[in-house]
Amino acid sequence: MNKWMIKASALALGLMIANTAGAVKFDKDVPANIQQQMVEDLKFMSEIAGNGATKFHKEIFGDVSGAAYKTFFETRISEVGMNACGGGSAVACVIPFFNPNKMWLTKNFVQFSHPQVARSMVVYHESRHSETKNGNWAHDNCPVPFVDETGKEMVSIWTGAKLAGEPACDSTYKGSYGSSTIMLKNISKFCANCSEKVRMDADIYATDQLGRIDVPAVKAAMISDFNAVQ
Amino acid sequence: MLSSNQSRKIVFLGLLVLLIAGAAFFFLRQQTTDPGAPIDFQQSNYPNDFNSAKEEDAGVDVLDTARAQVQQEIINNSMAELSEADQVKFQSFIDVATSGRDNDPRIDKDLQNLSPELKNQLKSYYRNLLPEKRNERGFISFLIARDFKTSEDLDFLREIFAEEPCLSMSDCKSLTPRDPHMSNVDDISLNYPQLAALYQIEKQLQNKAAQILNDPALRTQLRATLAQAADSSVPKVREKAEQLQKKFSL
Repeated sequence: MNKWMIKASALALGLMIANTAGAVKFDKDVPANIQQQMVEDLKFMSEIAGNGATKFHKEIFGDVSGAAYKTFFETRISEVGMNACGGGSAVACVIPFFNPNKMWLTKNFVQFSHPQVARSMVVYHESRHSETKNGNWAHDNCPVPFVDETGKEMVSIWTGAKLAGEPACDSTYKGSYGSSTIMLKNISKFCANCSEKVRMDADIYATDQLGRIDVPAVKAAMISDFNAVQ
Repeated sequence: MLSSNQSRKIVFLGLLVLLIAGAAFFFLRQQTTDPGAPIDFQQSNYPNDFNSAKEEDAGVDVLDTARAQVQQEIINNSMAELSEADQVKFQSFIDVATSGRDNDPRIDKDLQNLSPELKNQLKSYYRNLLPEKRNERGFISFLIARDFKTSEDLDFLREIFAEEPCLSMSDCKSLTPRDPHMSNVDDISLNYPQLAALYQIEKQLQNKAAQILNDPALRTQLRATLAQAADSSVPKVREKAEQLQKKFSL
């Protein structure tokens, strides 16, 4: 085979790889304001600088650092599109059977007034669902009954809908609820260039999401991880 | 049986197709955006954002414009009441609140040790915000609670705890169905102004308990504020307030 034929095929292959590596790609129907919000949120995460990290965080993400968070996201999600994500108040989702490496955003992404770190928690939670080799970290069905530490049944605030039996829990710290909780707790504790608002928000949302871990020993291990002296 | 010349031609054609396909794939694909770089709107693939709004969207746009005008009037009136130094701080607040960039360094650099006049304008801004603006409301609640020094500050926080609960992110007055998958995020955001206030009250008490609790006026108002929070119909707010009442004997 001629040398130029080899070079031509390498060039073609290289072009195809270059198009898929690195940056996130938006579908044409993602409105400009949603693209801007997503880019800003990812930029915020990519600029975080930390001065420590817990053991579980190192295991899942590495350091508390923008570079680690950028790599985590970009090695899981390569495309972003628009979808209703089942409707309701969903902000984002991943539909693994359709395309595990594509994140879908809803109009709620910009219309709902969530703090920035809460939106980032959702995005990173969903990105964890892209991991086909880990069964997409499918959620557990919450236990029946599903009670908190005081013995009260876990319900949605207004509808009173019980979480018991719903696929809305994790039995491992490595799943989507667990990993995003660990990420936010570490941001709250170790982010050296985050505003007090960001650190507070990270703490509030992470503490609450810990309630979705339905195995007491795993929850206790996570709390121990957060409180370990560095 | 193909000759070697014909085989070479077939291979060549195959590689040419591959090369053309690769080039087309690369250049004709949708917009690529590097999260690390600022977005260039000229590259947007959604060129008709502003020109092809549907009728119902046009109605919303008109409403949004009217609200924006009212909001700007409020800002202008507030600025007129403030000293030059406070105007700078108030502008910082507006920039952060409207951009949603919660990691803006001005939050900690400019927006601490707020004057009573600036706090009054922030409180006024809060009262004029749509209830669905949970992050903006929570931001103000955070600023006042982080810096509470007077009974008036605590009374403002009491007002926040006395609000009707916000029932959904799209419309505080309407209950909408929620997917339990991420309903925890909504639950917190719906009560964010109240939870941010309680978080900061606890922090202030942890750091300056003696200073706060030995001031009779502050102690009385703090007790009233926490009592209001403990009366909330939202379990998360109620339970946190009760925890603080017990912890600090209030």
